[in-house]
Amino acid sequence: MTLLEFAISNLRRRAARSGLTMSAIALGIAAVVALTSIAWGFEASWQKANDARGTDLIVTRVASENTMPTPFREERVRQVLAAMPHVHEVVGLLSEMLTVSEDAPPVFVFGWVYGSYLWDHLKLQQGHWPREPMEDGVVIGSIAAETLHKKVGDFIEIEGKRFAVIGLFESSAVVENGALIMTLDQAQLITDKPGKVNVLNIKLDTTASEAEVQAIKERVKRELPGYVAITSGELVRKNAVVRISKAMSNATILIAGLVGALVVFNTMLMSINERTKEIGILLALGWQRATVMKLVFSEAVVLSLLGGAAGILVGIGIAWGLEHVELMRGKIDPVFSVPFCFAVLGLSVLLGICGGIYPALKAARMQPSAALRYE
Amino acid sequence: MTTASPKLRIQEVALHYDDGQTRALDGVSLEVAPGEFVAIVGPSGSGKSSLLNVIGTLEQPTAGQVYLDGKAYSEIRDASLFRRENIGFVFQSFNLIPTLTALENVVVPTVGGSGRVAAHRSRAQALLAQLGLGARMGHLPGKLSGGERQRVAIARALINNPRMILADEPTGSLDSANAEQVLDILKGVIKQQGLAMIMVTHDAKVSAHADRIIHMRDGRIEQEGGT
Amino acid sequence: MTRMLVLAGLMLVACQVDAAGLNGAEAAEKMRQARLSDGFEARMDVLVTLPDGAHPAPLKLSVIGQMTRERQRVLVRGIAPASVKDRYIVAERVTGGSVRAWRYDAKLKPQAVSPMEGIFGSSLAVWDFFTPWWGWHKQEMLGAGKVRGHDCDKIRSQADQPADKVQYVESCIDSKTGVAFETRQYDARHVLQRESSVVALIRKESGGQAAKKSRVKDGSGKVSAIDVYAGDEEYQVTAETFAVLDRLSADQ
Repeated sequence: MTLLEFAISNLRRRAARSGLTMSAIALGIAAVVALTSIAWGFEASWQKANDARGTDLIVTRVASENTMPTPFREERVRQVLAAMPHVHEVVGLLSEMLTVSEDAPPVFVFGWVYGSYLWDHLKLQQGHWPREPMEDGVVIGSIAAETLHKKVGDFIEIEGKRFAVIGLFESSAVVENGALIMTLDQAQLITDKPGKVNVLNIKLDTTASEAEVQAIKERVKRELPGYVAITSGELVRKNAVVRISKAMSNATILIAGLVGALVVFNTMLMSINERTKEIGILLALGWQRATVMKLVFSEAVVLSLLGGAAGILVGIGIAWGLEHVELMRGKIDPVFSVPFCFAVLGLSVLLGICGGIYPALKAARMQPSAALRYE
Repeated sequence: MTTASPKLRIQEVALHYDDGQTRALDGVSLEVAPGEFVAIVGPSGSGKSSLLNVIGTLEQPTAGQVYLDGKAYSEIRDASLFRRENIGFVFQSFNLIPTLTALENVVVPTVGGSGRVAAHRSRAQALLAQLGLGARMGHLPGKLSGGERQRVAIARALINNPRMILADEPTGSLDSANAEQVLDILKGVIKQQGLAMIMVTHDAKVSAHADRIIHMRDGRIEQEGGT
Repeated sequence: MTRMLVLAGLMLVACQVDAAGLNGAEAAEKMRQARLSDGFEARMDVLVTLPDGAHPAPLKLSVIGQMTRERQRVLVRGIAPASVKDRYIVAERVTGGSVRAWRYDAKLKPQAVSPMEGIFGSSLAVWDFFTPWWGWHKQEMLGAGKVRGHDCDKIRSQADQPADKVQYVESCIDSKTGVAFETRQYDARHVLQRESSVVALIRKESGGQAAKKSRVKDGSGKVSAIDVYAGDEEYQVTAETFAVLDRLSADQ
């Protein structure tokens, strides 16, 4: 019999308590997995959307930290940017989250410059793209089509204006699949923002080096006070929603960690107290104090590892479930990876170790003669 | 009684508690030869179990010294390792782990130690078979009789090839038939393996089996002599 | 997006000032200053609950405003439902501090309406957008108050004209966020005419806070829950924006 087998046998001996402890750890870990995957997925999805469009740099107002940065008049800014070296194309984008159906949650409505490169990465499944800058039509993402129950040929009223659904598209970015896209001119019209955009997307020519990209950023800072040129990754990281969701996931990790460690601590301490005599016997039989500590740690780690593994599965389930809930469809795209799962398992083991430290020390410090007398 | 080459030598051992208010042992000296069976008798609180604890390194004496083959206990750096290599304990209430089978209980003292798990298991199986428990190895302690449980405990005490057995009322929880059987087994084992055995007992019938009987009272050896 | 939420504060009497340590006149002046804007636009969902608990179709409104020292005017456009779509209410504050308003649509010629009248059947009044009470001469600090657990400073604004329907307004400015969390309008007989409160705040770009969700209850018990979902703090007011108002003013 190995130490691990002995540890598992001890846990099985108190199946109900071990099960409850593992459940508590599993719940904490599930919350960590679900929130973290959603927070990362949110970030990744927006970055994917920006990357898929082929945008090299994004220009926004300095203070913009939201999903959709503050609108601004684009004309002068675009002219300055277009005159910069290596700038191949500068196109505006307007976006808002709007309620377009009483039966469905709000969706993103994007306005993209007609005929610009922004449209190139989308795959048209049905219908056609807008044929002119003022076309009263929208193309609808695959997920938005499902949630809004709309198909090509249907009509959607957006901010009081009736639009025909002229096309259905698929994008590699889930946020775009959950969105409606119209021409920028139409978006400006219905949102009463003539000449305004949220961001200007810059596509550079292929010869632009890292240093030259950096130089453009510096020039924007100098020549366009109040504006900033950043990469899509930087924009997403600055995003308030991304920051809040990451902060929430970090807070959850902290709380779940503390609770998990406390649960393990409590369970192991109770177990040690109940087994005082047994530990005395083991010490009398020649077990070294280090072996007793290893036993307690093994039990704590097995508990937290099994709880962690169950928590990962539950967390993936929660995130998957949320992804398919009507309210969240097309807005979140949870990200899971093998390293992430291992990191979470590592966190579980850490909880076990932290929670097991004191009980293990207490067990190892027992005086065998006193423990043997314990009833 | 002393031997020419004593294996265990206890010299003026004292064990005090509460800053000397309680004197569990008070200047006990004793020598035990290899293969010798010594019974310690005396009323409750006379210091029998305390002496056994000191010999078994479960407690450190307040004064005096214990030597095994000339090596002083005070020089032992790892008491656990010392116990594992030299001492086999047999307790009155068996002290088996209820969720482990008879076989697993026997190998418990080897867990975390050196040697191969399979080798320990084979030895445990051999010991149990030798003690007439070949067919009961997979049983939990709850499914065994008192005598069987104590035989499992004896096998456990022998698993690490100790040099002496310390038995604290090993027949105290058994009926006379089982007590007799356990005593016979213990005597057979120490004779066969040349081990010393120090047994604490209340029972005059049990002590009658010993080579020597030590009478204790108030932490002192009151009288010693052969049976 | 934050800008639209700033607008909520701007329009729905949730302006940011630090009222701590000021007398009533100073605090009111700060609130007035904070509302100045060359142009703003906000779009909002308005859910009306009638006194009997019934809910008419939810309203979707666009509000454009200009609040400079020289001119203060507001244009409300109905977006949804169809019954209010492309119907407008335009209002301005005239010399002397009073507010006058008209409603019109593509077919209907502008008709004068009371600025106190609920917009498209809601309890939200165009008069509130002008927060005229911050311009009244008599402002009195009433001391510390508490609104839903928030510490705030109570200010009473007394109307300049004894004939006005609203004779005094009591506001409570949250001492931490500077947001006017609660505003109560009373007539000369101390009867509550309308009360508005901020339900949810959101952080502004500047780091301060503004109202996102508000609630307005009128004297009849009609309640409007307002959710500002979009907007533009730097709306470009063009000659077209208030053309109807300009024509009306020229006619008078």
